[in-house]
Amino acid sequence: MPKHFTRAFLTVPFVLMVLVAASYGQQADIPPAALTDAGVAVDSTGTEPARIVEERPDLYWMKKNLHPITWLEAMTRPVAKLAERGAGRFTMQQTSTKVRGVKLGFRGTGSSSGAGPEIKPFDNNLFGTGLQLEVPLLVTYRLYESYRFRLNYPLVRGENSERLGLELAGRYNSRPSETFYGIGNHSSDVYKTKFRSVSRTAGIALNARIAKAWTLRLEEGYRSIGITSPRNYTSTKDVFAGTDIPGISDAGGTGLISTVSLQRDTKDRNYLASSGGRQYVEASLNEGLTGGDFSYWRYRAGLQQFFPLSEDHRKVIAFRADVETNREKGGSVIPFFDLPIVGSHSTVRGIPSRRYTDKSSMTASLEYRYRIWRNFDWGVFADTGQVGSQIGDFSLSKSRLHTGYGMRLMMRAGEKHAMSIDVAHSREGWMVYADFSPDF
Amino acid sequence: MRTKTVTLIAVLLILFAWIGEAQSKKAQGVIWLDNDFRNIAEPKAREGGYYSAFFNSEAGERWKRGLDVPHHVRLMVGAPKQAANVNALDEVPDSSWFTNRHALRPMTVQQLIQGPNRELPPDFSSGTITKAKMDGVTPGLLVTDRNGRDYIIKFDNKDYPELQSGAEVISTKILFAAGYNVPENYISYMDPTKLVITEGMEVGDGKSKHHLTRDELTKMLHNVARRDDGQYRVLASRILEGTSKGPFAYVGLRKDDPNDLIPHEHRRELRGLRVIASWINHWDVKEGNTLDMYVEENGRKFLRHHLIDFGSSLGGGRAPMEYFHGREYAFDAGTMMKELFTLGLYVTPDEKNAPLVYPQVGIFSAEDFNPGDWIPSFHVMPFDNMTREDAYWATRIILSFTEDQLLQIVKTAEFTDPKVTDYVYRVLLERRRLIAKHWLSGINPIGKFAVAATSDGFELRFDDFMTAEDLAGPTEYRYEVISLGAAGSTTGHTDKKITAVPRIPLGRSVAGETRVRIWNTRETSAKPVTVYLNSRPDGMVGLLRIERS
Repeated sequence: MPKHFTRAFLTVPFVLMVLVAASYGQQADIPPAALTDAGVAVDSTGTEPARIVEERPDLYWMKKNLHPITWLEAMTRPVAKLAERGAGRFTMQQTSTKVRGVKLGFRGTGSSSGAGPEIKPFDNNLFGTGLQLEVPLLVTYRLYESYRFRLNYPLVRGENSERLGLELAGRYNSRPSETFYGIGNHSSDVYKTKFRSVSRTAGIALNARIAKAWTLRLEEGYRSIGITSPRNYTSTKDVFAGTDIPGISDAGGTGLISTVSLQRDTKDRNYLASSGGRQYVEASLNEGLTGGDFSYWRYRAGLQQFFPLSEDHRKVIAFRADVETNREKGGSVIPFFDLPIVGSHSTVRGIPSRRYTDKSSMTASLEYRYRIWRNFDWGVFADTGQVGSQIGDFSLSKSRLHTGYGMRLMMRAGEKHAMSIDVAHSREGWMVYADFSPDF
Repeated sequence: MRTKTVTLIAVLLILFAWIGEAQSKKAQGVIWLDNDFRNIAEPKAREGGYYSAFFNSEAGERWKRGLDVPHHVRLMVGAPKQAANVNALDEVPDSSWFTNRHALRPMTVQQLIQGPNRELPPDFSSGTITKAKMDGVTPGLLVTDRNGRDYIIKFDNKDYPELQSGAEVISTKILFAAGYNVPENYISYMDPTKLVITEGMEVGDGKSKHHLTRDELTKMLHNVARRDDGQYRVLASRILEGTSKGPFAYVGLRKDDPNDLIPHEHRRELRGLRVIASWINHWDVKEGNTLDMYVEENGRKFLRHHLIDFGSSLGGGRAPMEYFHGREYAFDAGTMMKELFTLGLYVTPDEKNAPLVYPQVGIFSAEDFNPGDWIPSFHVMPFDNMTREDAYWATRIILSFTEDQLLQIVKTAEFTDPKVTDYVYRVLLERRRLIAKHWLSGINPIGKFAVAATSDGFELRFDDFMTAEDLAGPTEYRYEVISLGAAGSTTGHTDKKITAVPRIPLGRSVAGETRVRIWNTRETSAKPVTVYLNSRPDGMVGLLRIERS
């Protein structure tokens, strides 16, 4: 018994010791951490315990600094810093309710103009009278110039917007290199020429919001336009001299333009809409005062419609169609520089700029857009159009239709800023467009 | 000419490969304290803008990674570069980045509840507003409390009370227990209208700068959550001690910190953070949410590295988080390409949504959580570098919390509705189970090695985490025990044996160095775990080294 007792007496503590040891093992090798009051590890040994590694990896800096992407990164760093500052300003601009100031932008001024910086001083309460003034000044990298002013006086205000407004506007527009291939739906590209136009317009208009989405506009304007030869390119005036194309032999002219237009706009946003649409009809009378005998009626109609395919508007079918016809008044003529065109970002993409021109034109575009990232949409499109002497000349025959197709990247930044880059192809080649205020 | 160019390119590629493979010489033995607390001269504050970090992580580092030929070769042959700061037992030593806490040095429930919070909680019965951010969607104040301590005050959204503050507190406690340096974050109750506004204090930016008025403060408070008793529940984040030196980079070394020897992309605590962040859905783990502080402790001045701002974790943020967080990058080229080439027919996470179970929780569930696919909103290079070994290390950390401990941590969020507490707790448990199942599969999930002395001699004991977590049934282990001679020659028995229990007999004595290699018959393709043992002067047997790869 005592023997057994002794064995048990010795075994129990041994088992207990084993149990204790078993509960430690690896953990038992972990020294308690020296902790600060904040419960984080600190060296309190007073000696210099070892490091887990003795030194930095050999040549680590060389690997980092020699890498070409490190150089690229270094180059983009100032851009990132600018973006950092710009983003702050951009956010402020998005929510800005400033009454007066200067807005900066980047945009173009029509087909083939290129793009450039726009400075727009504005005052939404001029002299405390409620007058709204803006003066957008734009020069593109292709030296197209557009200087405008617009003075608006709200005559009647509605609950949330102006119901009736009187507008005074003026514009100087210099387009140094406009192309012209002759008139007709099959004009040859052999006769590619260019001309320069400088126009000055002034006008007064009455804008009436007759219903939530409906606007009626009456406008009376004066225009002076000069047509000259471009620098360093075959001149339209030289190549087409002696033809009966109206306006070729004239240096431009002056005239009065009276316009009435009706528009319905239900788009969900101004740029790159995803639902709603815009429809308009417009009629104007152009009465020449000096220069050639330019008097004619112009009729235009068009529509844009956006069909969201999903509730979140990530996929959208967009459609647009425009038709225009110009009719001479009496025995007068329509100058070539005022004729509608096919071949531009807003008509048929992929067709060279202003490629076809005549008294009437029709164009249509169908586009499928889909979201590829938060603010980025991708689109595939097909455009078609034709020109003719009159609307009756139009047909759906393959030989008459000029068609382009392609794809586009659309970027949106808030409600007020957007941009699109389009790549289009037609049987006449490839075209690339950048639009800094894409309304379609 | 062509030969010369090809030769030059080849030489450059070999040079980069050689440089890329350069490693620091590792210290021998089991290091438990990586002494990066040495005195250093005060570094410059590092700039850390949103766009700089974005370009760096989304473009620069990713492109470099794409061109990193040795990296791709390593991946192809199944030998990715392992973390550089693990000791011989495959653990991360304590350092100015990380302190081994609950997983290796179990904390009490009280310690877990307390987390990083020290001494007294903030007292806003009186205090002074010293700074204010009135614009934007997240108004905030800097307040000195009655005890003279400075706190950043964050308010909850009026429509989502308790959402942001609750998430921040729970994540703070979990990350602290895991071992990271985090700020003291408290749920506190206050009435800011009773605080004194520092005289002449300006708010706004540039030309719109002006003195803060009481009216403005009241107006700001209209947009934040208020309790029925008129008090405002806030998240009070104590200003970290020391001088701020900006965020730390996820890649590279800090040039002006001589203590910084390990490239951050190869620090295990940053690599493994991916698993822990996926658990608490801390998708906003961008560089801007880290902070280096120049501190003085024990007479030494050095940088301590922190994770900060966990308001955008669990399902939270100012508002319930958008569904894509944790599922795709904020700028995800892969998703964009899928969208592009499928004409938008590919359904991205950005298009999906999940039900809002409770406004206090946001979008947080375990139902569609896939631990292997979880990603933060911005690329974090250490996350991309994470190996199975790093994931195993982090998984073990999150498994160290008992169910009750986790519940007690969730309770620190002080949700008014107990159902909310219960929901968050259950989601965390389920997400943890999914993480364990994912990251412990395909590897040999054994660990917690311990040598025990039994009546039959010594035995090596270990845990099988898959079995312990009820993720798999019992299995058998194949093992070999080899005594290594002086020059590494094998002198012991080499025949492989089988055991059905996680215990391997070592015999009555272990002479010199012994190598025990263990295979798991459940995961036949997984590599064995090799444990090196040696006899200690006290007659016991100690762990020398553990190899998992």
